[in-house]
Amino acid sequence: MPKLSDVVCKTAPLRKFNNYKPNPYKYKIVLPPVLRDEVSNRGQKTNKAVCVQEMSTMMVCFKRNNYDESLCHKEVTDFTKCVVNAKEARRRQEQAITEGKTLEGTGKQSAPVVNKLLSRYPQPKSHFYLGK
Amino acid sequence: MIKLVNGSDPGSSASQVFKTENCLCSNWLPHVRTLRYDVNHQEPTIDKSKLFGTIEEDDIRRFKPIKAATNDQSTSVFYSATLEKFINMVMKDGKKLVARKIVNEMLENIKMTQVEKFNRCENEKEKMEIECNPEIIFNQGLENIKPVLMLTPIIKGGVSYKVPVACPVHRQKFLAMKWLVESCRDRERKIPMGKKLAYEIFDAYKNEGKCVRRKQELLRQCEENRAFAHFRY
Repeated sequence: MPKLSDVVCKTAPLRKFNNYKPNPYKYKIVLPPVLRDEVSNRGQKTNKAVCVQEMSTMMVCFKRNNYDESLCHKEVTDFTKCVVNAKEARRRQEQAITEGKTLEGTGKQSAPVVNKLLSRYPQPKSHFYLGK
Repeated sequence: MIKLVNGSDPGSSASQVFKTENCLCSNWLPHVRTLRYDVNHQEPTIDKSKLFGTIEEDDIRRFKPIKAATNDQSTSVFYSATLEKFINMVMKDGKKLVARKIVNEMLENIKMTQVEKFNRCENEKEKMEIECNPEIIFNQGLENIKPVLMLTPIIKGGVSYKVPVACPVHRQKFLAMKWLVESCRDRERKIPMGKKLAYEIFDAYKNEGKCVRRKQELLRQCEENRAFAHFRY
């Protein structure tokens, strides 16, 4: 049985009142609202460029001395020290990942470690009717 | 071509029983192109002082098998790992004796030139400055050829860029030796290789010459591409 509001709201001055119109869309579940037993792996392994600052100072020195490395001893040693430290930091990071500790930058654990923990306690199986 | 000791072919069931990945016993190993060891095998100790010392209770060598030392390695005072590596790089077609002879000639040539310079020198102060040890000159020459940076190709958005990156130590050693040997091989054949190497090493020792120029060329290219240095890979 059509409601009075349905009929009246079709006329011009009241067409703007959308609250009284029935919802033309039927709610349907496209994806089941269930938590996954894993965390996404994206954004994990970006090797950012290290020691760019030291590299640029070294290059400036090279250009000044016509690429004679013996005259740029200080800059070269600074650069190599930075590279060694960066490598050590990366090694520590990878070790922290394998041991399951929190990562230095974010304070979270890495995705594979979290996934391992989640797989031990999976979500109970649920069934959802996915509407047409 | 894998050659097995008992003569059976690699596809047979008898050979599949033995899996080299799991066996600690290294008596049976297939000689493929190099001798393949299990991952657990540790490098042998070459340092004489360390050999006669005691090792700690929790040292890894107490619990893991150790690789056999190669014929080139020795505990002698005159053993130098860099020189052995260099001999391998000079070697062609597996002719180790020829390569060893060439490198010895190179060292001899360096020594002769320096001793001649030493004997001819009248100034006492300058005499002390002259370095007569050919190994030191060789090592210093190599140091001068080693590049600090190198270019790695990084693909971003379908385009391959040459990004300047810190050159790792093992790569530096390899490049220095490779450039040295290549530049000598390019020269005229009438001069013996030992002599050519000696000339190149002297140039490198003074921070000039073909190899050092090649290194500087690489550094120049790195400088040109410094805009890409911040690329993530």
